[in-house]
Amino acid sequence: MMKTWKDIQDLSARLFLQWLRGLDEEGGGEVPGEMSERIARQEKYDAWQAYRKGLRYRRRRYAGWWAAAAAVVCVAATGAWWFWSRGEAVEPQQVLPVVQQHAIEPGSRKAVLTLADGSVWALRDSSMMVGEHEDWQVDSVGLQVVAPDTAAPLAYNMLEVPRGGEFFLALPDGTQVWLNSETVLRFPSRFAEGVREVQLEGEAYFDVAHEEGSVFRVKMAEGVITVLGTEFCATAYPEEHLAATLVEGSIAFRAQDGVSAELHPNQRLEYDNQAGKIEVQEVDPWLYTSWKEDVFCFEDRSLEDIMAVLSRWYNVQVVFEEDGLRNLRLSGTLDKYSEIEPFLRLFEAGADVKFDIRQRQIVVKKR
Amino acid sequence: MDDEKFIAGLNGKNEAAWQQLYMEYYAPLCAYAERLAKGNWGVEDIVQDCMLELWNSSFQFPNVKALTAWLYQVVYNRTLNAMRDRANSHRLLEGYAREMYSEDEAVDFAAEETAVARLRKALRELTRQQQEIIRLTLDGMKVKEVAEALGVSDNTVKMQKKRAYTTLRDRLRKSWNVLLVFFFKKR
Repeated sequence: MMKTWKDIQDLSARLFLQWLRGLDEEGGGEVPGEMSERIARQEKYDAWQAYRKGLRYRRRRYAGWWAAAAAVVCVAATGAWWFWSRGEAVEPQQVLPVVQQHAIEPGSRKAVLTLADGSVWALRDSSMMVGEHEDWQVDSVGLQVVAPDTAAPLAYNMLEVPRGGEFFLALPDGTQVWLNSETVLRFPSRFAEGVREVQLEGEAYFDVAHEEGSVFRVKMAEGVITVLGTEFCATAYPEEHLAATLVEGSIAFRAQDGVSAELHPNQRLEYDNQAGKIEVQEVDPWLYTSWKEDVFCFEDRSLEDIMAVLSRWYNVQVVFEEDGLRNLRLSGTLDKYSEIEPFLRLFEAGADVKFDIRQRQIVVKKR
Repeated sequence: MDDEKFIAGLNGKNEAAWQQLYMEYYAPLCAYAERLAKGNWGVEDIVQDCMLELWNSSFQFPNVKALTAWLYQVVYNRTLNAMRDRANSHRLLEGYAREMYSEDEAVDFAAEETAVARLRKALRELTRQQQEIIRLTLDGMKVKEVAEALGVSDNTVKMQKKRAYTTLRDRLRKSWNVLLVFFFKKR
């Protein structure tokens, strides 16, 4: 595709996002390399000096305006200099009141933690759990075990993420877990020898820490995934087929009824418990794991699937006026933390569909 | 200053907007010209001329996208001209094959410099330690190497990286209002 000058903004937005992704993945993301050099290449230019030089030139040409302009320049310059030297964000002034026509908001980081001792904690971005639970830490990153108590009995805690929520958790062995909306994870405060087991309902992305002589197991209602050291996404929503997508390493899956499969990277399995069959496909794992990077990415996915994902994150109810609409196939990429409406309008522009947004409900109609 | 105010100010020859123009575009445009010219051959004059040409003109830009496109394209043209002039007046340099970058490549360079500028701005939101960690990580260093270079634990690097990432991502969301939607329907 021929690029034009008008594409610069969009291309740079994409690049920036790629670089951000590179930050969050161990060797898996796209780290640009030589970033210090690139930054230095720009930093050696003094924009402030250049501005003042340009100003002198401009003043000479508009000499008549000198007196009036000088005051404006001084004040404006001071304010802006303050902004730039501090690197603080200047809040744009709220000119128009925002009229809320519906109550649909993107999700946020929230979860409820129920400890083995029965105590229940509501977790939000920066709440701290102190007092008798100093071995937990909650911050803007998520939840982590600070100092696992090796004397504690092996008991399970439960982390529940509601619709419209997501959360990050670091387990005692260093395994990192990203929990999607409508998910429950049961996990112990410390792991036993030889086997590290957690229980999952919903969807979670695991970056499993390698431990000599110890397997990691994810137990779901319909089967178990066994891992050595690896990154994968497990999906176990009650109304959908169980699925697992492998990014790195290797995993083995065993269903309740005994059928099993092993996955290699870039493979995805789906288990149909009614047919008792496992289907394995080659996929681009990004399409199934992008949610942990705050992006939804759909490629030729049915509108039914797309709306299922959006309904969990935006915590809305979706109603299809016509069943035929469920099979419309669409593609798109969406920043999770943006409003849902512009995204739906774009779908409308490209397909024969109309979305009627009521308070907490979206009705999908034929146009 | 948000995009709308900035463009309106620029079009109205408002001084605060003009200052923002320099602060946001001057350095990336210079770095861009430097890459095109493969060296710092009077790139600062080129960019300064470009900004003054804009001031003297009566161009009205509809949005930031159009402004960015105009700036990078004009700098590209002026840099090519400057290089040709130099090649003509220094015949000795003819042997040194200076290829001119195509427009396609120039657009890519422009996108990169714009992204680097955004990154520099975003980095200012982080703590000193986080900035160092992010730079080293983007240089291609792994967690272990970063930890060694800074004399801290692997865990510190991991956690600070995560916090920095969260801040950067939030900043991206707030300041851009970019709805990253590339939409098409497959038949």
